[in-house]
Amino acid sequence: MARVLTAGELAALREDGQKSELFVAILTPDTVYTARLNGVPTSNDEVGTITYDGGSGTPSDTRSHMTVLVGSSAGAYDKGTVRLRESISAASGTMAVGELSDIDWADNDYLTIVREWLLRPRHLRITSDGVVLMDYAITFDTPTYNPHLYPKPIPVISSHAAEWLDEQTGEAAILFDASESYTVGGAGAMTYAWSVEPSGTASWDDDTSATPTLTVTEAGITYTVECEVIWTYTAGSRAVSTHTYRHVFVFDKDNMPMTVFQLNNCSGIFDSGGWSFGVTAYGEAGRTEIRDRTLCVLFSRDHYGPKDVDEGSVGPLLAGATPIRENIISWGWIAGESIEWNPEQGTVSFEVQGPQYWLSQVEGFPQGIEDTTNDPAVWTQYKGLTPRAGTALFWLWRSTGPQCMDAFIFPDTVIAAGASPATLSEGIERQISVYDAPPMKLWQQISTVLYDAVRAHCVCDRYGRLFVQRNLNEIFEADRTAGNAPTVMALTNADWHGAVSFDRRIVTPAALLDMSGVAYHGGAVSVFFSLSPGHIFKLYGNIERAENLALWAGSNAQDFANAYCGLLFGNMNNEYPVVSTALAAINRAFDVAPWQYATLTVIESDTERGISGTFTLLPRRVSFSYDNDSGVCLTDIEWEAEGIPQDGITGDPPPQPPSIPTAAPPTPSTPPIPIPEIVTSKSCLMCSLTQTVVTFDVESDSPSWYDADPNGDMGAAGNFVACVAYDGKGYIVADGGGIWYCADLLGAIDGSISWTEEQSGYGWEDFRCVQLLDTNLPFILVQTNPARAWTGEWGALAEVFPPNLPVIGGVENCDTVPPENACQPGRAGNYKGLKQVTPDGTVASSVYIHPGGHYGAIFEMCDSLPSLPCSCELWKNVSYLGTGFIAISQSGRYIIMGASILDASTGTRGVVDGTWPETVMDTGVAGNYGVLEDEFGYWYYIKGGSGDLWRNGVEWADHTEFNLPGFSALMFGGQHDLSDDDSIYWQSSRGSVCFMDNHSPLIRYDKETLTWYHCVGDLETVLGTTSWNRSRGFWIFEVPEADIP
Amino acid sequence: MPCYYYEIGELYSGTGTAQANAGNKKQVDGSGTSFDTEVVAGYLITINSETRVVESVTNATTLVVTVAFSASVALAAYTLVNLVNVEDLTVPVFSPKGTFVPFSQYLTLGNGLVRGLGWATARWLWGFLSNTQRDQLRLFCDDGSGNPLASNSVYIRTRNNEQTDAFAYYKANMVWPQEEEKQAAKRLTFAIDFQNLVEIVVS
Repeated sequence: MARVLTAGELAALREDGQKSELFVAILTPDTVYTARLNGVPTSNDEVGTITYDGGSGTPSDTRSHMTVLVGSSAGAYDKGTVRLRESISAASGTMAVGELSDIDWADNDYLTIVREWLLRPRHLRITSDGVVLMDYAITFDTPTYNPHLYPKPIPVISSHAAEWLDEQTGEAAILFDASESYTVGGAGAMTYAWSVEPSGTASWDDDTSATPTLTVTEAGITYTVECEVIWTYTAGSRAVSTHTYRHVFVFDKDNMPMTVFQLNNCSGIFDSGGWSFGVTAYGEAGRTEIRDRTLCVLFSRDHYGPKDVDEGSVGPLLAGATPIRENIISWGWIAGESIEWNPEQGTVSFEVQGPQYWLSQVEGFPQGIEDTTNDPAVWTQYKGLTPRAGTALFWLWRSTGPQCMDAFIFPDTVIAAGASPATLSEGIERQISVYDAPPMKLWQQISTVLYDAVRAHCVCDRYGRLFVQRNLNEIFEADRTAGNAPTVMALTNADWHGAVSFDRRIVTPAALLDMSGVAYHGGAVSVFFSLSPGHIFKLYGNIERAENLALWAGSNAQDFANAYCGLLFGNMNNEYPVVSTALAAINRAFDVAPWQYATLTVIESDTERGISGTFTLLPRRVSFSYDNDSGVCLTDIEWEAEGIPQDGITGDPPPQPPSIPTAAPPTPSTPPIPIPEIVTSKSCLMCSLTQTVVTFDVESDSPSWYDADPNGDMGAAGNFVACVAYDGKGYIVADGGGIWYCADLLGAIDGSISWTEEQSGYGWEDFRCVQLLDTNLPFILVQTNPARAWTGEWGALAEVFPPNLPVIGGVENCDTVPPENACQPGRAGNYKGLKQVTPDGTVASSVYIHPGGHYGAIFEMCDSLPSLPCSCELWKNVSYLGTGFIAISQSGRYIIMGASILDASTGTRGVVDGTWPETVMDTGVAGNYGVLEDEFGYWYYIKGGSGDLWRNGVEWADHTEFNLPGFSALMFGGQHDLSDDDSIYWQSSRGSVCFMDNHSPLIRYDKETLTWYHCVGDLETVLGTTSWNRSRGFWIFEVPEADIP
Repeated sequence: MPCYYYEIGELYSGTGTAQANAGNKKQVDGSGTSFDTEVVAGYLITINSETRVVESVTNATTLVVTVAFSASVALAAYTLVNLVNVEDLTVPVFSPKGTFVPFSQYLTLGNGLVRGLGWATARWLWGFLSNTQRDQLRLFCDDGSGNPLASNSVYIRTRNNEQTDAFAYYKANMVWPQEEEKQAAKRLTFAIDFQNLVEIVVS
């Protein structure tokens, strides 16, 4: 944590003769093991294991999550790098690697396992039978403990180190401190096991201590420290542990780090989440010396006076009472380089980015955890779920962060006890019902969930330590204690040079804050609304909203909510949002995290405006500048003044959605002009894996079903995946190619129905999706071959138009063009969304077609969004949307991702229509979602996995109530005129449905009578069997009753 | 007895181990040392991070420093700086005109005072040097094998601006002049810059 500088340190900062020498230590990781690829995987897609032979080295020296270089020559990594999922144990066999698809494997590729740990995602995998596997292979019951009841500890052991051998003793001592390691699982003993490689010239004073000292005697070596943090939760017998690794660079005058360079920039920014620095090197920068994305540590040798005895550094870290890592300025991994070819002197500039950058670069699959009152039994459950617990589990299981860096995931409460509205001191950690991280970058997954729930921020300090904390200006004043947020130093006018500038707000940006949130505790949910400053807004500014926050439970919950609203509002209108200072010292005591203050006293005569008082300041941007010639390293800091809370009052709940009208509408005063009325009958075309049926009275108590292909026209096709019908015509889409067209579905009644193969698949196979357009004219098919999804050819897209309909775009074979080219605006019409599901039922990727815009456009999801073709203004912040799209709402405004709903018009997530939070969404297995919104603002969707029905975030109908295995699709009674709909249909999920057990492939909810109907009718008789073979799709349409024989 | 104390030398590790005598901390006792052949008066000796000036060498295992060490610790490795007055070099060099800049940057603080920051620098300037004198000095700025360097880490004793132009000890980077004006087997207006000066406390 931050600390108050001592009097001696303050005196040093005010000395003449301060100067620094800067150095960069660059990791060239040792090779631990080498081998050759023994045969290529069956596919380059979704590779999780590889076979190897010809191993050289000691297998037991390998560690989980080490980097494996894959190259066409020994030691090369021209083919890529992968993560070793598990250590190996033999000279040949199977090597578990992080799941990937981007290496073109070739037999005898060179595999080089190096002593390096990078920030990488650990993907989950869902098997075809729906089992969730963590990091490709770990089932929930794989460990010998319950991983969510006894979460592994999160290591905190200090950062990388760079030291010099003492010129006389030839030794260097490096102190580590693991005492702040913790677990979110509860009480228990924490123990430690330390080791180091190479060990021949290194030793520990106590390799089981929380604060051991490593003594090394050889320079020019990068030592790797391994610490196993062990949490024993059942006395003496049961323990879980986490391994973490740090590098110790050791130098002397004969083994120097990089010295000839220019520090271009070095800064940490609160809003950006951490630190970065850039250096220009003039030598020592070959690709063998500096590997791509390698670890760099910027460190210094400082003098706080003119004499040799003044050498030393001042930094914020303590191990107990002993300062550590004072000479470390920052570290990160090389993220980019700029090479200058100059005949006189070439240079290369490196940009080194801290963990926040790297976590922002790697995509993660969605994470969803639900609160449970029982012991968790699956990866998606946690007992007593809090934002902290959810984040900790994410950190432990979904990233390699614990192996690379320290992480402080603080509870959102500050003080452990004594909740009192009188003092507004927080004492209760807020609970949540769901921790839902949609598929996006790892950093966004963590930070977005936390910010949305408890407005916590993720910020890394210059030591690469992740701090998950709330904005210090958004904690109650009573909790802003010296223990929580120390005042590092009081800035005097002997500490800064140049000028201090104050940005002072005289026009408030926020006029009113309308806050709402949910207090969730032990399964009970309470909703609170608060306003600040009150119902009447301030003279200037916008009406701001903070919605769906997780709030405190308890008898004083409304008081807390009101006070919290005032806190947030006060911070929004902070009078002094930016105060800038240039410090006249080598001052590295301040950082953008963790919580800390400085004070600055201003008297009336100091400024022309006569402002006065003692400002309490929070560092928001800290930057170091260094002049090589003079050795002067100065610090500039931008601060934010401490926020002053405003009053908050109880707010007003929003009006309820109008109830469904039950009374007859008033009689019009003027008789309507009589028009011929065409009475239609609701009909349904339905297909299963091998069967197609149709009925023309689906809303009757007992529909009459007809075999839609009594003559077996489509018999050879089979494997139907979707269907669509309108105006008495029908289309059946068959997997493996083929679109079958029926000109008169009514022919099913007398057996005259016939089907013709309209499109044969163009040799691509795997038609997947079907959608009727708004215009009731053409339909399109999206045709993707999942096998190509990872080869770069994914996204094959076809627009297919049936006969006798206007051809807008013809047939477009996009198989050989990049997806983005296939999706240019103008090729598509105003289509609705489509979804594409892989054969095993999991959603691997989807294609969305936006219904708005001039032409509409297709948004295609790949590993990362390609350069989007559409400039449609309705889609904002598209890059935020991430991956994993599954469905698009009827209106096109909302899209569903793996476990989230996004508002496409604003790019925000978390709220649907302002009525219910996304956090109540199902967070389980993605897939089989559907979504609808009705004219009353109700939202319906199918919960993944189990297939329950949800409406506005509340489970509305459990599939077991209908004796169904679950629902898979839903649809209003008419696709294009919602206001007239009086029914909603749900189709049961995949798998056989036995009629004899009263299961149904289709049920209907009548919105007028509020009654559920099974649409079984005589289907059993028609099929001549007792089972319906795997529902695949249905379509509700209308035909004139007069046409029905 | 020279009038000026412009001295220069380099750091090296001493043979054996040494410690301040517990009873007389001005005396250094060695074990396995060769003080009589490795050390002469005027050298700097550093033991346990404390540096002193050698006053005299008694024998191979005993020497005396000008100011007592603050403590006597166990036998430990030690370093020496073979400082020698430029006037006493094998090819004597007459003392230069020395200048000294204590700070490389001055900042005006919020209270109006000025803070000096950055490295101190010094310059030794001769109106001319003979080639042999120049070559003598060049030995302090090579790689030890006769290959010249642009700069080298050395220790010097030079005049600063305080205490009536007192001479003080510094660790410094010796920067060899980029250009040398040659004339009649001499180097004219010859200046050696010393940068990154850190004063060595010897008392």
